[in-house]
Amino acid sequence: MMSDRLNDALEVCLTASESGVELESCLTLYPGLADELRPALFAAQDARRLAVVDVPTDVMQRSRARLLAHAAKLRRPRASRAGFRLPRWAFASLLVLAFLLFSTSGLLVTSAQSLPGDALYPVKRTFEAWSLELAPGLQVKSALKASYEKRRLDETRSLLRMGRTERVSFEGVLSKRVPGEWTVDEIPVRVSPQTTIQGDIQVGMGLEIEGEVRPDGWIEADHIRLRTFRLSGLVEGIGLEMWTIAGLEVRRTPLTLIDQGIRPGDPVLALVQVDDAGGLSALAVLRLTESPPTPTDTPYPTSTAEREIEFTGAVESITPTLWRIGGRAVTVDARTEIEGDIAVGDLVQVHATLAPNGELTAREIALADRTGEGADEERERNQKDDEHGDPDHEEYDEHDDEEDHSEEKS
Amino acid sequence: MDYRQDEVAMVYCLPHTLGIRRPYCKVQGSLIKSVADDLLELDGLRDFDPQALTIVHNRFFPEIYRYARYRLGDPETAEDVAGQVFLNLVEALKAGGGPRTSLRGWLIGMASNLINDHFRKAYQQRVEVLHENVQVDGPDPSSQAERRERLEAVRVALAELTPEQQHVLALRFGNDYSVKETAQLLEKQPNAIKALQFRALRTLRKKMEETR
Repeated sequence: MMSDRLNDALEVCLTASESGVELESCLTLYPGLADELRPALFAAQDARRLAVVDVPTDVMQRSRARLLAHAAKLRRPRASRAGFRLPRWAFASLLVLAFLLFSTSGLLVTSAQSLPGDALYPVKRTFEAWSLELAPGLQVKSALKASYEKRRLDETRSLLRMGRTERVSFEGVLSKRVPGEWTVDEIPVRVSPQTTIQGDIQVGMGLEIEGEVRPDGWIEADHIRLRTFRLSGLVEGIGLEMWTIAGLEVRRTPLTLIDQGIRPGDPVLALVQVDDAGGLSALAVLRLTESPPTPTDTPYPTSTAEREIEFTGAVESITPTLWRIGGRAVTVDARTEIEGDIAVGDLVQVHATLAPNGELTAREIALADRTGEGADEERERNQKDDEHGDPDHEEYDEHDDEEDHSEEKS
Repeated sequence: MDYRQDEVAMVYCLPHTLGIRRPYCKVQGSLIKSVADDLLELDGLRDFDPQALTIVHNRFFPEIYRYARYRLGDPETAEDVAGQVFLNLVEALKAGGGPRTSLRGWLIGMASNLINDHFRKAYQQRVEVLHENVQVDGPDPSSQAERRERLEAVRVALAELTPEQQHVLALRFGNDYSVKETAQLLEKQPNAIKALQFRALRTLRKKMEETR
């Protein structure tokens, strides 16, 4: 079996060469492996030369036109699409439930069209609550919740058209705001001094509105709560559950959509949801090309000064002035304190300063608490290899190619 | 792909896999521009919505084209293959198939399969595989010729690697994916990718030395 140490050393030198380090300089870190590493590194230089960076615009346009033409032939009528799709077994369960309710009382079907204030409206809301409780998995639950939110909006619009005075509660996006008159998902909302407003609300944010439908076609809002907002800022910390973005701690959930490759120091745009208790959870975190603007979308203050951040990550490469940890380049200088005998592959905790330009400078690097047995074993193995020679080293032969296929099977 | 602040008009428009669209999208009048879990973009694709198709195509075509160019060399063949990948995607969606876990993974995998088929047919038909007419820079014609010759030698040696070795070199050096990203695409452990990469590079070097 090919030596893991040799493979790791290659990766370290490849990363170092991308940062501008001379190959021979990197090879001095691995004197015992230099003879094997050198040909692979030179081959890597050749391999890089084949890369194509620019994609011709006309090529992309032709391909897109071809795709759209083909899709036009395949496009199905919109009417044939289902409102929403459920897994078959879940759909069957709901059908059985609906059938039982229908066959016993008929309430369910009749209540489906009811509006706030109707006698059967509580039945409708109860069925929705049951559906959410019985929903198999977060995604189904989330989708049902979204459909019920749409229902609340439709109910409100129906009541407005009828001019019926009823209490309503709905969620929507604030699209227009003038003093005293807001527009939320095309619904006019009157805001008075008696309206309680939670959160620093800006246009573009998601709100929850509680109020009353008035005959003049307005919703008189009693309570307005911030539900979702956009947060722009630098990623300051990435944990398993909690991320720190622009000074705010935001929970990551199984449904959070996160762009690949986001690292501490990257500018991001996050869509944040506020729960009833005021806790923040991220619906999406997207990487931006530009540095975030001075915050106008967020109700919370952010800072553009140099900040202290902490994060945990695996050491990918080590050079005298630059380490790569968790995919991020971290500058190491004379003031950096390095605790413990840290090697490539170790899980470390980094305390660093994050400059406004995104540069990370480590103040302290220490082995994380959860280094895991694997890391300890590897270090032990490497130590033995150093003492007794690398027992895994083999000369290349033709049969090495066959190992690729056996690894694929494993 | 990174997203400009002013292009992210409606981050709220997150399609659910069950096909429900939030009403906010209509209010704001702009389409979803970016989602991290690229499977969610399939909601628009299943409808063959032109805007959704354009977004997905624009997002992933550069990566697929670069991959195809890296492995094939010839720009025209690479364009054909890259374009065919997206046609196969809509065909698969139409048939109820398509990506289950990763859109990028599916597209790259399809590109790899099409390229392997291309090489197989060329070998069976004893057709010479076209290589690109490489434009190189250099201080003088003789150094340009030398570079061109070297690139050609690399290209020939690459074609003699196993499909899996070509695949990993194309992902790592052609598309500049990290070890972790490559491991996710190949559904292997990172250590296996490093080992495969090492063998591929060593074989590449050996093949180049044999042809000198």
